[in-house]
Amino acid sequence: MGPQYAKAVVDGVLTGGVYALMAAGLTLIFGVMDIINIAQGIMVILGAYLSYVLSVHLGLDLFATLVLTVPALFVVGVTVEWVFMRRLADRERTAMSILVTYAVAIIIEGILTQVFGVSFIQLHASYVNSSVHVLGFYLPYIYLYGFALAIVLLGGLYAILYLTRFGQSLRAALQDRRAAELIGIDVERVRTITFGIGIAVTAAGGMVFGATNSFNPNSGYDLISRLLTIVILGGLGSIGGALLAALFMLVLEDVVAVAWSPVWSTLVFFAALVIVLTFRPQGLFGRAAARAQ
Amino acid sequence: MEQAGIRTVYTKVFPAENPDLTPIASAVASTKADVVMLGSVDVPTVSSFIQAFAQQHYNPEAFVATAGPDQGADFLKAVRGNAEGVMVPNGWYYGYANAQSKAMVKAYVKTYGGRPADINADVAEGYAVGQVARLAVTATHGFDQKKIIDYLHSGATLQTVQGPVKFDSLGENTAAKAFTFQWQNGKPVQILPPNDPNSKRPEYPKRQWK
Repeated sequence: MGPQYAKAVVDGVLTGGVYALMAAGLTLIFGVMDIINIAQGIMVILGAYLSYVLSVHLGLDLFATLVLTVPALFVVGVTVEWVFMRRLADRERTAMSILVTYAVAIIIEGILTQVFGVSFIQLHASYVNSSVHVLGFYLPYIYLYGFALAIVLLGGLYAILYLTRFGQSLRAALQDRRAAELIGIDVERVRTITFGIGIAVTAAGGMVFGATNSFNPNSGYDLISRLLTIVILGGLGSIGGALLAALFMLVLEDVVAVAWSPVWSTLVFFAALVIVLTFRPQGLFGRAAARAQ
Repeated sequence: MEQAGIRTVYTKVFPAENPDLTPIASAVASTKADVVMLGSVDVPTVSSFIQAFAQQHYNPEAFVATAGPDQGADFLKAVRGNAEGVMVPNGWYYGYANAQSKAMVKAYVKTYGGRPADINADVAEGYAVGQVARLAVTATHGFDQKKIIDYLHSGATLQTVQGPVKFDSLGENTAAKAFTFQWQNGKPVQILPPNDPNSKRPEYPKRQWK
């Protein structure tokens, strides 16, 4: 493998970690609530803007901003669920959620445009443009930190799902809502908290995205199609699947960009989804498997 | 450019909407080329390349981007100190020696604040389109599309904030001014054409990325 290809693989793995951070909440929300959150892209951008405000006006380090932005987006998520999502009837929840979350995305985009305008901005810190030299490659600190953050947060989500009483309630609600209610689980509360968590982790993805890309209030639309591709490939509802799918897609895309052409890399990104779904319609870690874990 | 003796060491076409430009920028960096000419369409593309170049410790002696660096404050906000030395070809900048342009810059700063150097070139381009439309409507005494089209293709020369406008039969502005600008000390400075009295000395090689 030539150095360029090796570098493309490394770039893909590191960038994939960032995408996994952004996609984890999306797959969690769908897995638990049958809600396809089209607003996930704008939530990423909202997280980036919150980190921007805190770093510029309070002088906080980008990673320190997460102490405030993660709870803030949790509140946003809980509010959106309480105001909009819980009013959707069960039988039409999935289809209607697309329309409702799209409306939420438009509302948030409009607010961000009013407050910040449409100019592109980017998050800055001393480590954003610097890198460490390892085995002949320059590895950007921001991607290394972002990847580590992805592992920690996704591990935390796993711990919540499988090591806590709340996680048990959540999985019980997943398997059979009525049975869960009969044994005393407050399913509505579980759903609300899950939606909040799904949006809260997006704050971390938004911060890393904002440090590696220029963004404005419209940037969420570029993201959502890729995030949906990742969670569908990984298997709706599977956090581990989202991580592996993000790594797979970004490595594939980056290697194709270097070996063949960047023009085809985007097509390959989506073609991979079609090919995988042809042979495995439930994705790499399909929903049934994810719920049975 | 190759006829002028410049050797191309890397060239690839990439889609404008590709959000992950890191592998392409890394591939460019690995060539250690002296000069990079980036066919960009917006600020995010340019800032992604600059960031990746800085991360790869790659400092080309000249960096030219076709769009993005002409966006004034938007460009500065995205790349901060790394604007220095970046070049962009364009038809307008805030210091353009044109009476209408100077009046527009003055009015813009009065209305929206900021520095003249922060003004996005799109402002002048949009304003000039409005001026051309107004002049055509005034000359044809109405909104008849055919009359307006015939007038604009008649060879009439119109004065705008971007200088004279004169369309040929295909709609190309044959009187357009072509400049190249370079960010120097936080402001875009005209460096080309070389025989223009307003052109300044280019900064070459550009300073290292921060």
